[in-house]
Amino acid sequence: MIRLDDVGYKKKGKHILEGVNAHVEAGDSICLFGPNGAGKSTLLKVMANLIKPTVGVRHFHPKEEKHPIGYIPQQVALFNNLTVKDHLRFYQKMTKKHSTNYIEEMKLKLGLNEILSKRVDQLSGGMMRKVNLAVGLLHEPEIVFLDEAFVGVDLAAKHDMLKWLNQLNERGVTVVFVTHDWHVINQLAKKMWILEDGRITDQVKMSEINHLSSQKIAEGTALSKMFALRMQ
Amino acid sequence: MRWVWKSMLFSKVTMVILLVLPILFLSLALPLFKSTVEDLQVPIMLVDSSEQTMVEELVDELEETEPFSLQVVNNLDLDVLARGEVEAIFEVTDDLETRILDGDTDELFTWYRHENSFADGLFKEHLASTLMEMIVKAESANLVMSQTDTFDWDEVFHYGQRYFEPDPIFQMDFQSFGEYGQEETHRQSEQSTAMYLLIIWTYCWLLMIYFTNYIYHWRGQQLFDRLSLYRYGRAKLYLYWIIVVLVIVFGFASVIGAILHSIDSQMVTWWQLMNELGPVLFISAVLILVSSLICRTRRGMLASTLSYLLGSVSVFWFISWGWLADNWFNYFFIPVWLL
Repeated sequence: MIRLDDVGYKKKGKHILEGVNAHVEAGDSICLFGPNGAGKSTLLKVMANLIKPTVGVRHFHPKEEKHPIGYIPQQVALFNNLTVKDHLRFYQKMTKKHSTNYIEEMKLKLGLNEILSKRVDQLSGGMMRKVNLAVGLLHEPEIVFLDEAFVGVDLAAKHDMLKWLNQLNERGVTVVFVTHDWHVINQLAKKMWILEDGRITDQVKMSEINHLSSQKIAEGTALSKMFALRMQ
Repeated sequence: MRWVWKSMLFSKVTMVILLVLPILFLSLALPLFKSTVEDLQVPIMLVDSSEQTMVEELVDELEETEPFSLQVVNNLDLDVLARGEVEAIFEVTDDLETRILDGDTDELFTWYRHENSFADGLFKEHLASTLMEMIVKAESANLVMSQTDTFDWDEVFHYGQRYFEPDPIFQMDFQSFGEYGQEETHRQSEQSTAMYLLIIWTYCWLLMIYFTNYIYHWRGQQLFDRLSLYRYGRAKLYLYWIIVVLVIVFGFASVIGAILHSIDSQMVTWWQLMNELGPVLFISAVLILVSSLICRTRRGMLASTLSYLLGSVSVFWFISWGWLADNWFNYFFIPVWLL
């Protein structure tokens, strides 16, 4: 679905990404993992086409041309004085999305029906994150990019959000996300790309992580070792 | 667009800036303005012991336009003048009508004034010019009556009125020349209008700077990133922003213009306001939007737009006072267009 060929990104003379070669299949669920400043958010934005790579090529082949991408930013990207209902209608209008069944199901699964008439600035942090997720998914995208979308979310809200994302993934929606939350990785990721200094140092399947041989762990980078040990 | 409108308008700070501040300013400024207007009413007393019809006509004419508070009494009371209650007293001769009809114009009035009287000279001039109209009409009627018996004297007298009002048979274009030799057509009134427009523009400019807060806030929230995934999403939000800002500043300018016009009908009309200030406000909003696109930090945008405001107002005044010659580069400062 997305292929990155030798992608690099440079800002103010500094290499944020360098020589990234990777491939995202339809229906994948990939976690970008790495320390702060490794280039996870930048790679996510390059894949989402929010920024153009300075080197290399990004190939994207969606099934539908119209609005195939959903993006849930790190910040809560909502209008403060609007209600949840206003937000849903605003994004419906922007994306010209008229399928109400999907929206009704999403509202139900994320527990938004009780807060529809509440203004965003009256909501708890967890609820805001739910609305933030909902507006990014409103147009039934083929691929969703989530940048630290679970920060400050309580367990109950996290459970609803993960359940809904897993359901979408089972229906064929591709999910690519950045997080440091082990619980989210365990629940959602099928694959993991480990980044260090703007490069992908490891690409692992979650199903293989528990069966990694001690030799593989020893061969891997410090970060992948740490992660593998943590998972075991 | 209504969601963007709602998002930008329905906040406490916006309400305070849009409603409370102008109301506070007007409620403080209006009494001051009104008292100034009231001070301009010069109190004059007119004494007409014989209650003549011609004096009534004269008073009607006098009260029509000028800023005089005219009090007509039957008896002369100089104490009123001594107490400073009136600026001057004008006593009408008992046979005003007869003497005007006879063409005898000597000492028709006796003028009593206090040593501190200041503005009564203006009334004297106004009285003289009004009286002169009547005398000219009477003289004309006398002349016509001496030549023919066909007409009635009153008929001829009132016929003369048409030469003064309401449809003048010719009009004069009043123009004067200033110290630099250039033509100054109603310059003073135009400058005061420009000053009011400058005040309104300044407030609107500050309002627009305030509304850029939303752009920086949305940018910080990565709202533009999210919208850029939709067709023209980012451009639409900027477009909605500028429409909302224009509606607000135009609405604000209209209300202020209407209030100023209701205070003084000579000041500025709604049409004049829209005609002169409208394009300036539109260009200003575009400039503010462009500066918020160029300056990535809020601080940078504030520094540039506030410097521009200061520069523009300074250039405006320098040109008004004649300290700065008319140059093409002055027009980079938008308020100069109001001059």
